[in-house]
Amino acid sequence: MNDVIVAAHRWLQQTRGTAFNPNQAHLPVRALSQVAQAYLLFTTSPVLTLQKCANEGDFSINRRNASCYETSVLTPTQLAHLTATLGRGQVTALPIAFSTQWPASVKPSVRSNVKLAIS
Amino acid sequence: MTQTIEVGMLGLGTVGSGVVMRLTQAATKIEQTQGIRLHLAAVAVHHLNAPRAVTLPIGTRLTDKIATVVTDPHIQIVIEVMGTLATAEAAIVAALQHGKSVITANKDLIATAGPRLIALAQRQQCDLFYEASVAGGIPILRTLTDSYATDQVQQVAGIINGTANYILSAMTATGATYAEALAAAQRAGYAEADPTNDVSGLDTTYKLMILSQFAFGQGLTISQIQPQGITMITAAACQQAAQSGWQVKLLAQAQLQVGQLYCRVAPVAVPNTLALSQINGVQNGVAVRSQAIGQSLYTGPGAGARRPPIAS
Repeated sequence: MNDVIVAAHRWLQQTRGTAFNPNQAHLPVRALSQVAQAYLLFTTSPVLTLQKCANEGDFSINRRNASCYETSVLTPTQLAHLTATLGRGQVTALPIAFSTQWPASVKPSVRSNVKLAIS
Repeated sequence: MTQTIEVGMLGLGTVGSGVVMRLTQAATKIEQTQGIRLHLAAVAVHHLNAPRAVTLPIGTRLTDKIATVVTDPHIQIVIEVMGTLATAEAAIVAALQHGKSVITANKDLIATAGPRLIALAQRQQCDLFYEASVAGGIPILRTLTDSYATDQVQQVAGIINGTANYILSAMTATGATYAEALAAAQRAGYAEADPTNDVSGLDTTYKLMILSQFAFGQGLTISQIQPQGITMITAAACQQAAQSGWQVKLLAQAQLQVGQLYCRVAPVAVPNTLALSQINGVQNGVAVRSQAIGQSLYTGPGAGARRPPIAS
């Protein structure tokens, strides 16, 4: 209804056709799932199997509940290895919101002046 | 002095009936506070003799010909609430070509055909508004446009599908299975008979595509978002997560990071410490983080929150 009121005012004020989203960008788009982040795992796999996976994959897993585990930050490769090891269908991995570990930004290379002795 | 605006409407289903009721109930207030009288001149429907949830005001013309509404020279604003894709797009195009301002809540259409409809509206010097296409009762698009005009949005994260949130909330609270929670949502009128778009994450994806345009100026595609739905989530997972400090939510996210936009629509575990985790049932919530304001949370009912129950 608010849109109708705004449109009506713009019609009466003869300002219609001017209220468009001015925000335009051309950004590279990436999948958030391809960034390292922590997960909640739901699995009935034995704890020892999970610990072995974690040790091999160099990450940590903490049991939170009967079959619920919290992982440290995992890369997509580590997550893929974990789910492959446990077997597809044997584990549900839910990303923990806002746990993302962002890749370090590429810093511009530092250039310093080199003083040359010219004889 | 009160000035009259002639309004035409396309569709008279659940949403259209709601619009007629609001136009009737709020007429006096709109006249008093805005100085505008909105006169519903004509409504186009598919079947003239279908049963209606509302009685049209005296003087409102009911027609089964869309063209008579969108080409009527007296009608200034067209409200599209048909909810289809091809027919709705053709009707909106015709309305814009005839100089009407158009209001629509058709998120599927705006997400997929928005750029060309907006371009047409600009060429025709008409308005095309679609605030209700995202998060129903939360005026988030206008907020992003106006209130963040001088700010830089860094992240939007939203629970923007009431059906999915109702199902996940019920599974968490009662231990109901996915099928049971979906059936309850359908009985309560919060889920369609075919809930595919809601539970597959597609509806949320369409809304994120629109949100991204307003938050970052960046169009997104379905293939970039690759939505994941909630159909594989179990009640046991929801309840164990809740007992351990997280709520399972179908979350739409877009985040600007070092000049790149990262996006996702998927079920995630939201920490109980975050206000978003407390958005339950058919409520919607959109968290915005920006450079100047920091973190803000906008909550309210989703589009389907006041939907009447489906007759069984």
